[in-house]
Formats: sequence, C-alpha cells, structure tokens
Amino acid sequence: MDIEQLIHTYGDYLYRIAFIYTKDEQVAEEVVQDVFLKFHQTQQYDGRAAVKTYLTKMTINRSYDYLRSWKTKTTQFFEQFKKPENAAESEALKQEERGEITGAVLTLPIKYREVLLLYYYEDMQVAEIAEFLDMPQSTIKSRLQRARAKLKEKLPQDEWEVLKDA
Amino acid sequence: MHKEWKEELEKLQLSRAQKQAIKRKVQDKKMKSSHPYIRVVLPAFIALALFAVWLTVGGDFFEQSSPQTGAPINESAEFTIEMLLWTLFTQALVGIAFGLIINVSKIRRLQRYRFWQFVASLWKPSRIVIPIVLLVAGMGMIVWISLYMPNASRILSWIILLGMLIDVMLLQLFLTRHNKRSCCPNCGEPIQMKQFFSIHSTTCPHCQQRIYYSRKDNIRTFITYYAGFAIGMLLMPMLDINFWQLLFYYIPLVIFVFVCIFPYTTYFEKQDDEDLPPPLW
Repeated sequence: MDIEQLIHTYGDYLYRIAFIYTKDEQVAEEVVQDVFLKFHQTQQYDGRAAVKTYLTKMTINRSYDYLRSWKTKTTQFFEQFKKPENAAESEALKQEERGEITGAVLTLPIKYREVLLLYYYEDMQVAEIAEFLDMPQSTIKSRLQRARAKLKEKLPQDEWEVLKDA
Repeated sequence: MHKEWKEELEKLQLSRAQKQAIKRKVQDKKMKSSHPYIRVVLPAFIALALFAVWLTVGGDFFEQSSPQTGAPINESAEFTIEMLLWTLFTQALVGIAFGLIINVSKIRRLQRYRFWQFVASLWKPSRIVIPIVLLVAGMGMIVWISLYMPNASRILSWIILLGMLIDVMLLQLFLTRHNKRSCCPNCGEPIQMKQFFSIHSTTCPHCQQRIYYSRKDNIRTFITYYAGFAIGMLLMPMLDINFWQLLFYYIPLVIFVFVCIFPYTTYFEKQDDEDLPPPLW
C-alpha cells in the first residue's frame, strides 16, 4: 500500500479527528505523523477492515495515548498557573478560525466530543459506534443525549438533529 | 445543524508543506531505529551493581592482589547504614533532577512561555558546555562527599564510583539524544557495528558502495567520546581508588561507548573530504 497515497487521501481526515480529541493543532499533526509512521513500520494491516477504519482507530488510540501521557498532564498543570498576557486574544482568534460550533464542541469533555464526532461527523450509527468503541449502546445513546443538551446551552439558537436510531 | 459543523471541520486541513514533512519523516529509514537506552543501560547498571556488591562482600582476593594500594582504606571503620542510605538517596535525587530538567525543557507548550524558553534555550546552543558544567558540579559533590568522610568504607567508594559511571553514561546519552543511527548515504540502510572499526573508509554491506567518515560531522563525536574519559581521569586520583576500581570504571565505559554512542555519533559521506574540489577563493 502506497503510503504517499494514504497520506494524501486520509491525512486531512485523520488530522480533524486528532484535533477534536487533542484540541491542539500541533499535537494533532504529531499524532497523524505517528499514525502513518506506525502504519508504515509495522505493516500489520491485514485487510479485515477498511483502511480508513483502521487508520481512524489508530488515530483515536494514539490521541488517547497523548491525553493520558505524563507530558500532557504536566503541561495542563503548569498552564493553570501561568497564562501569557495575550492568551484571551489568541484564544478568540483561534475560536473564530475554527468556527462557532467546533469551538463549542471543544469545550465539552472528551467522552462527549468523541461520540459527537463519530455520530455527526463520521455519520456512524449508534450500534456502529458502540462496536467501534467497545461500549454498550445505551452508554453511547446517553452520552449523545447529554452532549446535545450541553451543546444546546452553549448554542441555544441551533438545533441538533435528533438521534436517528435512539 | 451538523452539516454546518461538517463544513467547519472541512476547513481544518494539513497544508501541503505539512503533508510533505509527514511523508519525509515516514519514509526516512533513520526514524526506524531508536536509541537503546533501556536495553543497554539498565542491564549494564544491574550487572555493575551486582559486581560491586560481590566485590565488596566476597572480593578479598582483589584487595590482596591490588598493585596500587597507596593509601589503605580504613575498612568499615565508620561505616553505618545511614551513610549507605544517604549516598543512595543523593544519587537517586541527582538522577531524578537530571531527568526532570531535561523533560521539562523539552515540553513544547512550556517553551512558549518566557521562563521556559530561557530554560530550553540553555540546552540548545550549548548542548555540550552545560552538561559538562553540570557533570563537573556533580563530580565536585562526590569529591566533597569523599573528603567530608575520609574514612569512608569500601562500599561507599564503590557506590560513588558506580554513580560516577552512571553520570558519565547519562551525560553521553544526553549529548547524543537527538542523534539518529548512522546510515549509508547511498542506500539509507543502517551501518552495522563492525563497520565502525575501520579507520578511514568502509564498504556498505547492503549496497557495496565505498563510504567515508565525515570529518566535519565527527568533531562533536570526538568531544562526546572523550568527555567521560577525560573528566574521569582528572577526578580519579582525588578519589583514592585502586586498580580494580579503575577497571570497573573504564571497561564498561569503553563497551558502552562502542555499543551505544558510536552508532549514533559517527557519520559517513559518499565522498572523501580530501577528494572534494578546492574552494573557489
């Protein structure tokens, strides 16, 4: 499998997923790079699932690795104490670049962002998400409901589509 | 509503340059190998520690046959368990502090802040000078300990020597932490261990092309190799150690340099420096 073609086809897509998980563009880029590097090095893909699904799962796992890492926790700890002077300005600029809805989604905890991403961006069904994340369907449904309720507080003027199979 | 979100997310894209960089890094064969820190350093540490304990407990033979017993050590005269624990504790603290400083200075987000930028900048331009200064300070501390406790027992002297060895190994690993394993400039395959023993040039076992040592790149290598040896040689006489302790220090260090440092600090070129055309001026 040509790695150049894979990077060209799925690079942006995986970057978006990694960004929703990590909330940092630089880290998302690193995650995507790690995923392709690992995919290229290990050559463990055996064709049982689509390449896209395989790479998506790798990206999610790598993003979780990053979020669990000691490095991330240390950074978050120090960020609580020290903020640069123009933090508010740069944050507002980033929010504008990313868009209102994305900005609101990024304020949610990871468990809600994850299900929103898979349901609304990936267009996966609840059963598919449950299988993909290895969780009960009821958990996915309740998380989606809560995520939508939380988003409604942040984006009161917008209406999210109701769960198709809930 | 969720279509709008999709549209927003579609704007998030990797630039062409970012994709190119990812392609380069993925295809770079050098990225495949990692530095064998744990595989080499940990077993070496355990083996040396066991060796030191064995010499201390049952190694009277070495003590009797030692040719350099200038100043006899006052064995176990004032040795207490507190001294042993305190020495181990200080060594552990030095190691932890060393690791923490390096890790903190490497966190990218922290580098955005001025203070951390300053800390990180200390390591970048003076990769060699700062660690050497730190090492000398560490050695100074060890010497001070040995002076403060002139009747230190054999156990303590072995532990100090072991700590010194680990410090030097850490220093050398730190100096070469960004280096990648040496590869053939023609085919990109990693160079094998036996290739490093040639003096001027060698033949790549994969592509059979002649490759030459890069003298310019190997200046840093020279400093890295000899930092541990030179500092050790300067400080050894102050510690009043015997011949076996010298062996204990230098043999593992030489093996360590050949196994862990050489493959990451020796570079090759397609053409010999002397064969290059003279400068235009």
